[in-house]
Amino acid sequence: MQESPLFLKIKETGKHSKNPLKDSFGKKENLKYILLILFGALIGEGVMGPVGGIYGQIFVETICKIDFSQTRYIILYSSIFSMPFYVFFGWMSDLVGRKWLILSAMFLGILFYKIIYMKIFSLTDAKNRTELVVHKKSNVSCKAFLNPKNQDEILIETISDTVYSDQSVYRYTSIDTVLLAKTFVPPQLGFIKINNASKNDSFQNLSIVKFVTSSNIKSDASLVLNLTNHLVFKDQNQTVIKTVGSKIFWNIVGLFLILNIIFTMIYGPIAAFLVESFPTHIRYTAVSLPYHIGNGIFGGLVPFLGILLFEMSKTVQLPAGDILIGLNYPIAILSLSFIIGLVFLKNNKNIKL
Amino acid sequence: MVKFLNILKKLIGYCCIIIAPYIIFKMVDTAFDKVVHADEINKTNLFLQWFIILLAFVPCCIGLIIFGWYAITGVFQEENSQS
Repeated sequence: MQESPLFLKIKETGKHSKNPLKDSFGKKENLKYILLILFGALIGEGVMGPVGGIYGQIFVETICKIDFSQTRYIILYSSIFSMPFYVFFGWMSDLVGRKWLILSAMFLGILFYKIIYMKIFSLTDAKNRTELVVHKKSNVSCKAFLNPKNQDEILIETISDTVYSDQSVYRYTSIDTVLLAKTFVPPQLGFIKINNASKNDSFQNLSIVKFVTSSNIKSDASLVLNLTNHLVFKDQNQTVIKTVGSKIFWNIVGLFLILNIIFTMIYGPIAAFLVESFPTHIRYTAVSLPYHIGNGIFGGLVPFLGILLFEMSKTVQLPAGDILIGLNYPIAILSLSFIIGLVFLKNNKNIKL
Repeated sequence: MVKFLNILKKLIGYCCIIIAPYIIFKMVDTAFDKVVHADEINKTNLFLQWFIILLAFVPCCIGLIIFGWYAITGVFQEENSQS
């Protein structure tokens, strides 16, 4: 690798910065540009990347409950298909200038992020499905085991599938927590024995939870008591993993592609925009700090803060939480960046370095 | 148009100076509330989470205050009127 011709030229003439850190951050005329570029462009760019990437992946996997591998393919395909747009918008910014493309991307993000995420959620939500249920296969498996965290509790796991006409399969895993009734007094010393069960609808029908007296652990069936009537239901926890059909899969890929195209609209011109914003002698030092703060701190915290806001939105009245609240953070940052960028930034076009 | 933009820049500067300390206050307040009311098991995790958030965002908010101050004192206006 070689230094750029411009940098080599100023180095030869001795005009390069002896202390780029001091020159970048110690001088008001440079610091003001660093702050302007940070708040007017880079914090917006920073939060837009994860919305179409890592935060989207977390949303689809943990909130929409789509299968692990399908989630990765959705992100993979949308990222691959969006690649030409980086070049396209870079080229376009040479024609119309950087500012308006960057601001357009921010504006589209503010407008459409929540709409697109809501659409993704509704596509996978079982309540909104119009496809026919081909069959419900209950009790794919059923097993019972002692709660490893609390030996007084018995967990009964039942897995059932709902298959739709578009080949989507929603697999529900239900875990019933049951307790041994206090009215049960064991005849002698012994322990709870749980066998794997199958083809049982609920814990009421189970005949698998048994009390075995300590002196007859091995095989004497007459000393095995069926505890089914002594079990008390405590609570039920149901989770679902969705494997969506190809039509819905490609619809979600398309929606993520839109998110990524909006991102390419800001990411395509940003490198040229940054280079054009600072003089050669302090360019890399001046670009580096706002770029890494924008992407690392503001962008890097999108998934973390998104999930944090979602967890904080869970209340007694709304136990499922507000699924879109995680987007409030990137939208707020984008709005701030959009206003500052609109008023303060200049449209860089045909600038001589 | 330049005059209108200059007024707008000053207004945004004032907004930044008001918003940034408010964000710091709100984050510290939320962090304090969450950590104090957390159970013993989650206390350390929550403290660490909020410490990282504050460590990252407080300097950014200070940067926003400096930016606001520059906007109010006309640092960006001069540039605009020159161009």
